[in-house]
Amino acid sequence: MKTKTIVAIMLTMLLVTMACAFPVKANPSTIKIGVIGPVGWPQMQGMTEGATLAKEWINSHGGIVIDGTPYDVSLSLGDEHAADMRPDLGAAEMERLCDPTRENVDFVVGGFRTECVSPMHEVSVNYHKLFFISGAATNQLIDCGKFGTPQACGKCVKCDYNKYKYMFRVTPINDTMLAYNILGFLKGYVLPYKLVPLYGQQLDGDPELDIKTAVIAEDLDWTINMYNMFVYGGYLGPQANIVYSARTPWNALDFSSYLDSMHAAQVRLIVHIFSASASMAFISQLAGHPLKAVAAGIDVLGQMSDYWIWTGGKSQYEAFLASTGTRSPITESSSPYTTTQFWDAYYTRFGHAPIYTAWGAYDAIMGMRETLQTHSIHPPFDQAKTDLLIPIVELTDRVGTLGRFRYTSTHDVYSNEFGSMWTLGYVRAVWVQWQAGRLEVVWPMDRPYSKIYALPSVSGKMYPYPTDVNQEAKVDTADISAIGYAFGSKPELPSVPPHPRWQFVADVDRNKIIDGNDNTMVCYDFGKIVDPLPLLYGNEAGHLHS
Amino acid sequence: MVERFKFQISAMCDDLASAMIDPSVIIVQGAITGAIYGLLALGFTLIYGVARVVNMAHGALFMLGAYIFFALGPLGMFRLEVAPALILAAISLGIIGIIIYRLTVHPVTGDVLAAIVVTVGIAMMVQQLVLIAFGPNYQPVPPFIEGAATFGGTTVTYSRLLAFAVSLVLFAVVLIFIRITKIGSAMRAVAQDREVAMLMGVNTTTLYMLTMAISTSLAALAGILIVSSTTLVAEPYMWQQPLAISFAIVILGGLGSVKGSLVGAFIVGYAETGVAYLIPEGGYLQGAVALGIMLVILLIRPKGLFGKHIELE
Repeated sequence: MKTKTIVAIMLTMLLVTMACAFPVKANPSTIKIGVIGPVGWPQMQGMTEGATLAKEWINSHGGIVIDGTPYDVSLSLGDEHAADMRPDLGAAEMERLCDPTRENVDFVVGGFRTECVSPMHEVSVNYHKLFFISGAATNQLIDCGKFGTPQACGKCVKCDYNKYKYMFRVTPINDTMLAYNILGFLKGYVLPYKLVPLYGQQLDGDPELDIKTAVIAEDLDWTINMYNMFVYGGYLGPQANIVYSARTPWNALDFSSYLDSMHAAQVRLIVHIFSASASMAFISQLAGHPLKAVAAGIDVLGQMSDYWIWTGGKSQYEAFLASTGTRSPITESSSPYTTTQFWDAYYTRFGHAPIYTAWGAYDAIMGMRETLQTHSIHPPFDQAKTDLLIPIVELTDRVGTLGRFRYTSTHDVYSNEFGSMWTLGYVRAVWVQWQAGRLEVVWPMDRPYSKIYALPSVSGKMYPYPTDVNQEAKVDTADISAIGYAFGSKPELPSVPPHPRWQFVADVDRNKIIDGNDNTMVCYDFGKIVDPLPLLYGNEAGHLHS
Repeated sequence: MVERFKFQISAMCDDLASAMIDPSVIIVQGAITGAIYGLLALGFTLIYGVARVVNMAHGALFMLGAYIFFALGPLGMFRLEVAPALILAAISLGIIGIIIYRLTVHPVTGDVLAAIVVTVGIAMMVQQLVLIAFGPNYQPVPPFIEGAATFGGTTVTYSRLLAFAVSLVLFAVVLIFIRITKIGSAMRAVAQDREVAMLMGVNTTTLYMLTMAISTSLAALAGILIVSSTTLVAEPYMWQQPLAISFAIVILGGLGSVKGSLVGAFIVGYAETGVAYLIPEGGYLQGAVALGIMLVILLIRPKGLFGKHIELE
């Protein structure tokens, strides 16, 4: 009896295994898209929600129609295990998504943590699945920069195109371009026009004025290039005197020692580079610290609309790179959604603003929809069909929700602008600043939705004279004009279009409306000038005087 | 890679050579960090000291405490004030600790390995339940007190000072509780010899449950105080780092020794603060340095610094 039972169990197990081994018959009328990212983090939430928005729009508008045959879109989610830093498990998840006997997706969107994306990429290569990156910025994934040298990695699109051609990056722009965007804003504007005139100091008889600057970054792959460029490469220019630099654990909780050191070094500008929740700890602790410095860098989580709530408003004045501000109308010609239409649909559906991974996942899927609808390549996408698709995808040139989009020759995002103007319209990073609960675009400056970048004035931290609206050390007609232009405007809630002329700096009394009281306060101080703020760090005694 | 390694070592040496050292930073911040870590490890060492349970769910319960406080507190569903929310969160975790112990740990009492496996499972389950209940969104846990105080060259937020004060008070309370009260005596008796204690009439099951309740309540308080003074949000994966820190501290201090945990916590706290302050380029190594110190001490004293059980506290 016992033997019979054992045999029965083994037979059952054998039958179950055989059943599982049969290839999953793909639903012939569905295009299955894998979405893989750090489950439990907002970045994956963004990818999933952006993909869901795309899926729902596509399915409610007849699906993806290829040669008259409609295909619905379905999503299959995977965890890259960035939260517990298990790239091996992330690769296993990618395996599950790509395996023809399991999820058998047609292509994959996602990837956030570079350490996890690399092994996942290898899996997608093995299964010949297109992998659209919508979260990882590291250059080395696409182009290590050492092609043709002995140090070439051999594992990027550039080094071995034939093997690694399946990866495309939709968002963000790569870390080198992120660095150039940082330089464009800081070196081209903040240092020479904001900080140096107020706080610039000479060192050792050098006629140039500079600003004591700190660079603080989490210790992850994607920050290395930027960190080295700023700290050791001198890319921030002679006006940034790097007096302090730190690499922190990516999950750091306490920044007291770092902030104390910056305070002792009399830092005025902090270039921070964070992608995880450590940024909230840093920004919150910075706000409560007597350190009189402004933070301007990269803060991935800072893009979340809830970030303002999470930090209790302490992120006020923090500036960083992002895809867009709160409901900023980046483009009015993308289809089916313009930038604000996507923002509104996303906010209505999910109750918060989209993060950059959401834009990327959405644009990746809508881009593939357009590609597939104009070419007679039907799913399922085996190696042969994927190889046919690749040169077609390479020719993508469309207007996405974040601007005009195309790929470089190595499948990276084409982005060529980082200055004060955005004339060509290709996707780029914009600088945003938290102002009164809204993320406002402060760079480029030529956009109609761009606002004036403000130095912190709360508690007299950096610029304690709110009646000097444009912070140019005198209260004059320019300040009154700024108020006049924005008169009657309010910032409104994130889901409601703000008044287009709203300017945070013009809200002198910080009551979230530009009114006569703001004007009166400026008039009261009219004609006054600000003493050059003393160079000594600890005891600013500059004041307004006639 | 070798070049990068050499470059980083060189940068760290430059940091150390050029550091303008203000001792107040290391002294004050190290003490505060140490005390807060001590609070984190206190519950962990208590349950091991009495019941010989290595509670790998300690970090998950730390996280759960923060989430329950959010749900009960001013920004959550129930909108209670901070103090009642804090107390209720601690009590809730105490009750949850009793349930966990009774249903899962009690059947494997005496088998250390089985208890580890079971509590790891509990930790995974708690994480998934949190994801289901609250989603992947971060939940705000704002500081209780705004503002900061300056001590010499360092600034400490009031919320961190509060966490520091509460940590020391709780340590004192636990030590006094163990030494003076009858239940504390029973705990020490059970820790020394379970069978003899049972013969003396001590109900070990009830005692273990009570210890578990105290341990999980302490974990909840640690979670709430630490989160409200650092990241300001509760997130579903925040339990892993506290677990690792707790584990390192109790091993360093001696499994089961409350005093040892406090000393171990201060060692880890000072080590991390020292690295972050003196070698900011190598700030990401602060955890590794602390663990390295732990390893060195264990080589010299394998049982840990105090290497004795709670019965001798």
